[in-house]
Amino acid sequence: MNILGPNSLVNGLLIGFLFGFILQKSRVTKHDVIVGFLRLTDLTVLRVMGAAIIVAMIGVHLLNEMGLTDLYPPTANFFGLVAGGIIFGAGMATAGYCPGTAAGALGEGSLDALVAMAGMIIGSALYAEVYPALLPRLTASEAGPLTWPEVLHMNRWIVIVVLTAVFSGVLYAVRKRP
Amino acid sequence: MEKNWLKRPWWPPLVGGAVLGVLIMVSFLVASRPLGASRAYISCAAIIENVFSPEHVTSTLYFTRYGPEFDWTLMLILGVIAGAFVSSRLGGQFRVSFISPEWRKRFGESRGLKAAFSLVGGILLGFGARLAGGCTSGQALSGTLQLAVSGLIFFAMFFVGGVAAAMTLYRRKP
Repeated sequence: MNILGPNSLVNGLLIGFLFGFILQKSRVTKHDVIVGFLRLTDLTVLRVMGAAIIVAMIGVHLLNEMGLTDLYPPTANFFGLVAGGIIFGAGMATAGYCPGTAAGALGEGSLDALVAMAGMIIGSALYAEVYPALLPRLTASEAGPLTWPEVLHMNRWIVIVVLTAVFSGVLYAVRKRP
Repeated sequence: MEKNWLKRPWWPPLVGGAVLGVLIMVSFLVASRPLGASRAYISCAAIIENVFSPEHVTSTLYFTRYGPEFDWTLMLILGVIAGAFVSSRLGGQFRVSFISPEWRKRFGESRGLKAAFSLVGGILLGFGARLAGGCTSGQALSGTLQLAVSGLIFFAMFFVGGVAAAMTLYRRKP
């Protein structure tokens, strides 16, 4: 039984367990917290994501400098990101969940999340059906795994320091908001 | 206040986020991959379709990339359900429910309407995540922290789409 590596089902389950535990304790598994973020009345989601990004951005790049991990940046497909992002956001506002937090919501007893998860399976299946029709449009806007240091021709640590400052500034600016 | 952090009903969001950041580092170290949840749903779709029509799955172009395999992200999702269950039980937060307080305040008691919201929202989430190549975890979190251009674009776009939809749906009744 392999414990390490991207195909180890054991570490998938363990990491998922911790992921669900943390999501639930952070309250982002709650429908009203997700919708509150998009109504700008509850910034819990922003705080959780901001803190996670700052810690993991610095940490993962340190691990990479030490030769302990590779990086796997997702590819940038501008058409896909813009259209998909907007559709995804609308879904998030309607269902009150996202793919990870829906599973967590189910774990804490919110049975509506199970319907949302069924919807996600249907939505994914629909995408597989229309994919050939979208392919020319997607191929035309495919930019590969672009990163900011490549685009800006900058040392990555400069980008990390700038992004850390921006995210920290945002979190500080909203510190008095609910 | 409860001394044992595992038994607290909730953690301050910045603390939860920082711990999540450490978990993401662990995922890179141990699993050689970032967190990403949405892939589980396309794997699940492929597995279900494969039961009813294997020919359809083999002839569908997209399933040559995301085949009917029980993959890592499906285990991740099962783990998330279990982890949130244990966390909510320890913190006294586990509650079987179908309609959340804010939704009830705006739309009332109808379970059918709530189910329709969940289903339609889920379909949009599944479709949008596939089109964007990831979700809140795979693009917004993992992409941004790896300094990928895609992460911040996705973040901005789901925020725009989400705020527009939420403001429309939850606009106060005249």
